[in-house]
Amino acid sequence: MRSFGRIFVEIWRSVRFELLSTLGSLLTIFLATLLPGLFWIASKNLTQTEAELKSGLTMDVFLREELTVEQITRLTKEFMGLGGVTGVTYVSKEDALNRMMQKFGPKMLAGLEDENPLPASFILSVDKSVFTQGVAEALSKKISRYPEVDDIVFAGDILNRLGNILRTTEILGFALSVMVAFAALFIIANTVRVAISDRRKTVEIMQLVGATRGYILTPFVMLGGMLGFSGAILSALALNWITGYVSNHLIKLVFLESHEIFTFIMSGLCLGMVGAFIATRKYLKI
Amino acid sequence: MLNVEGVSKYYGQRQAALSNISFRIDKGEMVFLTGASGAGKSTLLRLLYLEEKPSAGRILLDRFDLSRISKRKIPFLRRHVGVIFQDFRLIPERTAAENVALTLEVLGKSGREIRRKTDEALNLVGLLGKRNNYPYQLSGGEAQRVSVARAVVNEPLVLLADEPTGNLDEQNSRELLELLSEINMRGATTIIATHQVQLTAKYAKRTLNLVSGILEKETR
Repeated sequence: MRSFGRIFVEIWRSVRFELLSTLGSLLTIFLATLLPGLFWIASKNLTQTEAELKSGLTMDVFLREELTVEQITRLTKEFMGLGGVTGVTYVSKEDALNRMMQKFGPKMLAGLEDENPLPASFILSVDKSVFTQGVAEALSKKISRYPEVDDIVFAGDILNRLGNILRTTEILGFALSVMVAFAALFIIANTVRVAISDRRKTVEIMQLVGATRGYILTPFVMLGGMLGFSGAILSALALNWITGYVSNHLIKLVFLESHEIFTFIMSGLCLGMVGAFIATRKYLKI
Repeated sequence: MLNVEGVSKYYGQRQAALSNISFRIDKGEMVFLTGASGAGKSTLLRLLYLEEKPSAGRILLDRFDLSRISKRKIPFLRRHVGVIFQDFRLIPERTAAENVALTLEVLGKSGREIRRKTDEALNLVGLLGKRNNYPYQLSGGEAQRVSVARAVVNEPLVLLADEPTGNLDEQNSRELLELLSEINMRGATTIIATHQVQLTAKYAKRTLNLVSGILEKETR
């Protein structure tokens, strides 16, 4: 306990000597950790949205005309036999109009009851295998061969493209986060270098009275850790606020889970300690 | 206790700061190391507190061979050597007591022991009443006495003083040498490097005189 107290007193002495510089570093680390945090939350939300869309995705098979009960039974059976199809629902012209009315309201579609332009369709529920390259195209091709089929609409293509954009964003976010982490590492190392420089005389005297390398460098490494830790906490608080604000005003977002927050803050701590350790290796010649 | 055997120290192009120095100091002795500026007094002391290593020769301090000691073990040896400098070398953001306590903190002593020994050392140098003063609140003589307290608080094997009176007026210089003499009489082996020969005369102690890195003469 005593040595912990000693370390914190030493840290406070370093901070007090260079208060403005330390606060500046804290602010920079806060901003530096904010960016990876934003990417993390964005990626988490987009991935979740993508998964939700994929799980509820259907293939709409529009028909040339209304089918007989026999035709519906036969086609339902045949479509169910196709790979990737997990469910088949027949939507008659009337059902389609009712659905449209429910969605947009009767006023918007007034008059369509007499002359319904909507086609009958089959709605095919599909599994994840359909998102594999080429599977959706092959399935569409098979279905389009049926003479009853007029057109096929599958949003999976768009979703696949969205997925590709997401992956690119994730890679970009990761690359940017790594760059920002390096910048934070440099900032922390520089703050610790200044602290070492300010306390060079103290370090010399400590060496003179027999302080070991560990005794001397521990407070500096802890200073870096504390900067990283505090910066990450501030950043987590800001991210929580940003997520809440966006959820209330724009689009519902999920924040990080408690274990993810813990990882985020611990990453800040480690980043700080590593940066400080690099600085002590380079500038603390003992 | 301290054996210096054929010690030389070179810098750069084989320029000798010390040449083939040999002497022996027994436990409890007080020795003056005299010589003009640049004679090699500080270099010799730096070898004794392991700031530098000799280029040749051997230094034995108690059970330690200083010429062969590993870098990792240097801090542990320094705990047995008390050092006083001309410029006091006190930590400005620490009070007198905290400066003295540092020596014991490094050793991991308990808070109670640190407090007790620190107060004893400050009492010895007559500054217990100024234990909470910062170095800038102390006179030169007082600051030097705090550095003496810091050097002796751990009861080192040997006390080294490098021009301890260099920044003090005559009155303070005499008082400091009295203090060092008193500490020596309590049993601490003491080596004092000084160019102020007139101050040493009173003590009739052994003197090692260095001239251009060579041990010119020894008087007892």
